[in-house]
Amino acid sequence: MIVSGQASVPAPREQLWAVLSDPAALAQALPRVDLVSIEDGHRFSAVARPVTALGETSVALDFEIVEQRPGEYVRIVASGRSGENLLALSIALELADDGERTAASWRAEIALRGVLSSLLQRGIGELLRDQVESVLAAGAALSGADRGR
Amino acid sequence: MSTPSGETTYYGEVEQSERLGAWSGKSVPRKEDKRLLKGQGAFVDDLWMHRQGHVHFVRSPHAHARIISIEVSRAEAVPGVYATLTGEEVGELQQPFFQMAPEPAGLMRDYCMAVGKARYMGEPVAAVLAESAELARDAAALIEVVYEPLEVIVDGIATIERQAPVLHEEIGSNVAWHGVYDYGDVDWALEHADHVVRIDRLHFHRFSSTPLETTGALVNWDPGTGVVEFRSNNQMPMFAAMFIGPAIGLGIDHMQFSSQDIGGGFGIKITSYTYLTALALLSRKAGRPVKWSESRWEHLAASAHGNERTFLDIEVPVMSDGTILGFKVRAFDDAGAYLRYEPLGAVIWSQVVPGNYRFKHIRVDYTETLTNKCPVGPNRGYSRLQHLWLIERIVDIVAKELGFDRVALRKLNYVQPEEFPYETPNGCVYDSGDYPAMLEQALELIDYEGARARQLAGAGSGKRIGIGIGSTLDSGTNNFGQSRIINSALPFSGNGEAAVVRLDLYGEITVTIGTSPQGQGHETTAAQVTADILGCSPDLVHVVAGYNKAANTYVGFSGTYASQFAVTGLGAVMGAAERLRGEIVKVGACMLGAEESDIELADGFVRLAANPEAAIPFIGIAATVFANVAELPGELADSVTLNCRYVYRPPFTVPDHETKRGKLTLTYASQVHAAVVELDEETGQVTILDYAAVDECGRKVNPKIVEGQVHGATGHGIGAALYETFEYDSDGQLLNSTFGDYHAATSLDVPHIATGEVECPSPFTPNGAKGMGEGGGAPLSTIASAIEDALPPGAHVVYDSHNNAERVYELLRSAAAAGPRGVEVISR
Repeated sequence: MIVSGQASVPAPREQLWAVLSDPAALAQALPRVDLVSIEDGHRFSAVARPVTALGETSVALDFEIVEQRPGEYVRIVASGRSGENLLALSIALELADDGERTAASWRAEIALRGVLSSLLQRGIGELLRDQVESVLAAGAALSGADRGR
Repeated sequence: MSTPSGETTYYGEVEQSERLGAWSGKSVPRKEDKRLLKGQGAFVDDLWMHRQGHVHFVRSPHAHARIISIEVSRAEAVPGVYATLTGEEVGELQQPFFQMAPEPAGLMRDYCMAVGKARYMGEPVAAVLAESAELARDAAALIEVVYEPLEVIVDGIATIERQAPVLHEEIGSNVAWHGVYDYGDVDWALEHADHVVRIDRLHFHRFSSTPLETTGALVNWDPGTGVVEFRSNNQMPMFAAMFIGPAIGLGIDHMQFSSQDIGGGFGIKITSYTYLTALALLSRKAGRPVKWSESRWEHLAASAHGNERTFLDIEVPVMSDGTILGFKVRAFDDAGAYLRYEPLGAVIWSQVVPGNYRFKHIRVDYTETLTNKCPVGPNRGYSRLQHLWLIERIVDIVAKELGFDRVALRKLNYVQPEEFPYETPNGCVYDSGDYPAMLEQALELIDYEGARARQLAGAGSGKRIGIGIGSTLDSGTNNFGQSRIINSALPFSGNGEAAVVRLDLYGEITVTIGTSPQGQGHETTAAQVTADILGCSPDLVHVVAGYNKAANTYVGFSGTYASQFAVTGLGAVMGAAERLRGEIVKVGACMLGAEESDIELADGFVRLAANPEAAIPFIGIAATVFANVAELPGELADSVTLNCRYVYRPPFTVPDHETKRGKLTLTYASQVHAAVVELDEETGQVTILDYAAVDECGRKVNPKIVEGQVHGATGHGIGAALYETFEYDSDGQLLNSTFGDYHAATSLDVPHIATGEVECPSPFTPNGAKGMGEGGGAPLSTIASAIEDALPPGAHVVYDSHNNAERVYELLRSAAAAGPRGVEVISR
């Protein structure tokens, strides 16, 4: 499934990028996600706990930043497992100046195997959109916090 | 008796019992309801055994994948986890299940869990046994399964192409069975017909039953006796035994099956033997009872689905007066990943080759295929509803394309009332019926003329009215000899059911039956016929609830399936009750010093017909035989047991493997449904405005139970027609395996159903009854028919049995698109 979206983020692009390219900051920004470990500057692991019809579902994910143009573009792939379910995700995020704000556009391709493919087929788009928008909003907040320091 | 041609001998009419009538035929309140309505039923999840553990199955997320490894150590290390079982172990502990298919499909190595390869999403690959269901589920998440994903095939036709990935290497292709059913001379008919209607493609979709109670079992392998106790809701335990026994080395004497109440089955619970096998192996390994209750998503994703069938290249020869001579078709039936009940579906449909019609020339080129989807199993109207839907589509499309009135066309082509018993082109014999009268009644119930007027008046309003008709059959009481049409080596033929009726020590009348009812009211109807024969009230007859192999009698195909209880089950009860009656009369005559011919049974007494005051209660007869036997002459004492078993056997012969002809089933109940629907032109939404179901099932034993079955089958069919469909993506992922996405019809979706009846007693059954309850899928035909009637001129034919708003919207738009309509007519 391919999900895409756009957002206008109330933060300068460089500051937003600083948050998004920092796995520790990124994990902090992701709602219902716990950072497990940072392997290096490109790879990290996390546990996501999306809420589905079955309740909170724990998904262990390995992330890798596979492509980036600092300040402009990043593509992250993730693969994970939740019980008997498998998940694969590729998400590309593009940033552009928009006055004092940042114009963000993103496109994600997600594949699920197992019961989640059924449970989430109608909800995955919204779930992912919520996650991305939450990250951007949190990124904006964090960058704002940086500015305030 | 002879056919219309005057040549064939039928079964012969059966002498019908004169004793039925005091209770049979009346809507006696269901005995079962006393406990069920008070919440006192006993279902699988209500059962408990000391030391039991709970099972969770780990299932493949892939539709097709090689299993590289399964690591269970982390799960086994969790406190409270008793044992695990993997496919690899199963490969060593179990022989592949017996296959009914001939080779090469008969070479399939099917196990209770995936061994080496997973072939559908949701297939069990491992199992965990733990002290609670929750712990078992959590521990299952710790089992590491490494898969190598393989190419997936989900298309039931493309799967036979050379480049398609092969599911079972030992078979060498994805063809499970292929055969040509050729009756009459369809080539002659196509050559000489005034018109030939060609339909490109029709598709019958995949859906299922959604019983309130999902599959489950409590299984204990007793290490001391070696007896395995299966307390389950399997609906055909002796069939299950046939697969489980050889697979894990158990004789029938070491398998104990029981069930009490079953919360719906509809056929889907026949093939749960794979899970029962896995549970038995796990119980043996752990040395403790194991319990498993399927979750709803497991049920929808991995129990069994109904057969999906695609019909290609349909050709229909039609004469100028509207006589339809027959049809020719290529059918592809998608069995999913394994043959759990298949390829029986490849022959079961041929019980109803011409449907309700006098078609003489029929050729069906039938291929059953394997795909990376959940295996199919019997599902209400099994294998026949697909074929009957095809026939009803043919009739409607012929009417529309050639300008015939669809009512008149049906009446012209129906088997006529005076033609019964009617022999079909493949040698089946329809016992009785009156389809034109049923159609008249159905049309009256929906106010056909009024609906036509509403249709005209509504033109241009944005709401399009359509009127639909569905005429179907419910063939009941299988001749298992039809299995030899698909595999001549199979050692099955005929059919039967067993019952025991006994007069117990204190005068109680107790009935045990071989069936395992799931809501059909067997306790009530068995009590009704027993009461009639023994001259007492049904309240005095105790029909043992459910099924218990140790206590109940049984034969090889005992169970509840194939619309047969009213004939085989009650036939057995009637036979056993008659035997008991004979013994009671003998003893009573002796005690009263009278001739047997002077005796009558009434109100629970044996009495002299000429002097009812001279009477002995049943308890007196029982007490004498069981406790005061020296009072009886030795010869009489030796000849009575008051414990009478009877096996009812329909008069079947073995069908012919080569010609694929034979008497495949005993009775033919029928349904004619009619509906008025409204299509919203903007959204494609279908609203049922009126619905009528007219049923004919011979002499009814309990009309209220029949009506309940009609309502259930109609609701199920309406759900399938408009809401219920399994959607797989190209990766074999089932996209709707919860009730959030799989919309099972509820009371909110099913309109008021006006019911009607026509009674044509079967001449072939001892009580005049016919099996019923499956309903032939009439709503699927009726709704498709109504939608087509509502479509604007030039629209594509209704090509699918499932018509949700999206599909109807496309059909509505197809008229303006002026593209191919999926049909052409060649006229001479």
